[in-house]
Amino acid sequence: MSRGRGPVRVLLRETVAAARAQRIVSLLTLLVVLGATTTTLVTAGRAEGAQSAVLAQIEQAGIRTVSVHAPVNGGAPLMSDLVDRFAAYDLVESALGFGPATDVRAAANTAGELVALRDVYGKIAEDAPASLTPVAGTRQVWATAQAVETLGLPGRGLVRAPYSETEYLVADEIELPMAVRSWDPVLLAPAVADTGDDPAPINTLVIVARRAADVGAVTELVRQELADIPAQDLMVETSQELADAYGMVDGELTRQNRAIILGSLASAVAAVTVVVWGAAMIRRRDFGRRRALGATRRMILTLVVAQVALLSVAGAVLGAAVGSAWLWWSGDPLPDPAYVASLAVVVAATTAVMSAVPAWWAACRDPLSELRVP
Amino acid sequence: MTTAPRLAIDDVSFTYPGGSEAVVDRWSQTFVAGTVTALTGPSGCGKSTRLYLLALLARPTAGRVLLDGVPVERLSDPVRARVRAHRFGFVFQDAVLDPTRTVLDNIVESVLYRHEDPATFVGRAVELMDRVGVEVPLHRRPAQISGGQAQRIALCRALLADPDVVFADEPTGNLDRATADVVMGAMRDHAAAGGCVVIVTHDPTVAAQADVHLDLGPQAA
Repeated sequence: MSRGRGPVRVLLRETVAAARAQRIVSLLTLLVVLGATTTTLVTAGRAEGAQSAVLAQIEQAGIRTVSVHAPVNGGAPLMSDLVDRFAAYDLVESALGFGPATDVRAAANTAGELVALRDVYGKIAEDAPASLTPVAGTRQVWATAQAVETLGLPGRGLVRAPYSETEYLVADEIELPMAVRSWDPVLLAPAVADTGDDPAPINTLVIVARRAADVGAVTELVRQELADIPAQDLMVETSQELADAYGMVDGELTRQNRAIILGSLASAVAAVTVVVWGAAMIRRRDFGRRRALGATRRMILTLVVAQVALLSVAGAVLGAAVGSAWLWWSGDPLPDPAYVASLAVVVAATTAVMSAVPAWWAACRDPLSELRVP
Repeated sequence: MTTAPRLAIDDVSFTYPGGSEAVVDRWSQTFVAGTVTALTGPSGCGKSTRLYLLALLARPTAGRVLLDGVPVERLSDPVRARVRAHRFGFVFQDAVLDPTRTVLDNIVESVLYRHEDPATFVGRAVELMDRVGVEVPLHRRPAQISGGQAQRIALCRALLADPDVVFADEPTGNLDRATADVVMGAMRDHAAAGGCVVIVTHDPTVAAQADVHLDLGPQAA
């Protein structure tokens, strides 16, 4: 007789054939794993989706921001070259510098309300240009919607500083970063952060950390970089407390989520163990026969675990699909796809590994006592 | 017919765990390749136990089991399993087929434990079924065939890979005379081809067809 196509392939085929032949046990195992994955997804998965949404909302609120304020005429004011220096750090997502305020009003209305105008260094928004080209020698600026309304400008228009008579052209509307939203109404004049010998003085520096967890490290970085400036001339505002609260919320939700996952996993493992153990009890003679015909204990262990693993993978994939569909249908936030995939892998792997206990019991059946007819 | 001893039992005793009385007491015997040996005797005299001792399914309490002159009674469990898979074939007392699998799956199962592809043995399985006179569709389940057919399917499984030794525990117990003769014919053919066959039986007709007849009466235990 010819040699086979390799033990692994033969074993795999036998596993599939055995799973197909033992329909009730296979169906029970599949349903248990499917149920566990679905249940975990619609409980822990839903909580994870909600957690992500809540945390994203908190992150939006500017908790990653570190603001530094210093009077321009203090002993050692902040300079615009700091913007590029901080922006170069890996921990920092973005850095902005703001110059001192200059009052302007609409050029066409000498009795109009005054609104502050500040130079801004750095990229204020993802889609905003770093600078605006002057029009006929007049610098272009951005205005917030509230500034446009306060100034009484019909869209684009000229504004003038009443003391210096300097004119600026409002080019577009802009939304303020969260950290300086209290300045509204305001106009911002984009300026290039000068890294040369002649940087400009600024009085506010806004640094955004990449992650909420990095706020402490970025604050420490700021203090180190600005160590030369006397503490009384500097006010550093961080969202550390908010970041801590974020961490607490994240930690608490993660803990709860973990408890739900562990509960679901434990239930799934217990159910699969009962099913496999029950099947092993019923199939004692089957294992005894296999042992008598030459199967090693390891081979029986492998066959049983492989069979459960096969069904667990199928059950987990189906469970992930059913759970995701359920969440989508009920309008709940869907967890990250990586979370769903990880959950399916963990459920399938855990049930397969834990089935080794009843599988080993089955493998240790004594063929003599199982096959002997009294 | 060759006279080389395939299997030998040397002063073997066996007591079941928890038991106080030896089921087999200081038994010695040789089993020669090319012969059919029949073990007979009253119920409870230890016929099946002797078969299991020879087949490495039980470890003797004392004494040696020699396969081709090599002691095998103390081999590790995985090695004993490999010996069973590669050298032995079994026909159990009540067939012991897998009820969830087809007739064909049951016949070719034994080669699975030799890490060979059962699919390559389908032709041989059909040939053996024809030889022992089983005419059932290959996809039938054991529950759909008679006890006699199941026993002959078990014989096909035992003979599939031409093992050196075939052990059969009451192989003709569920068969009518004509079918029992077919089964015995298949076993005698296997012995004639150089195999060693050891049968436990209550049937004097079967015992009469064996080359060696060991009567294990009360005095033999």
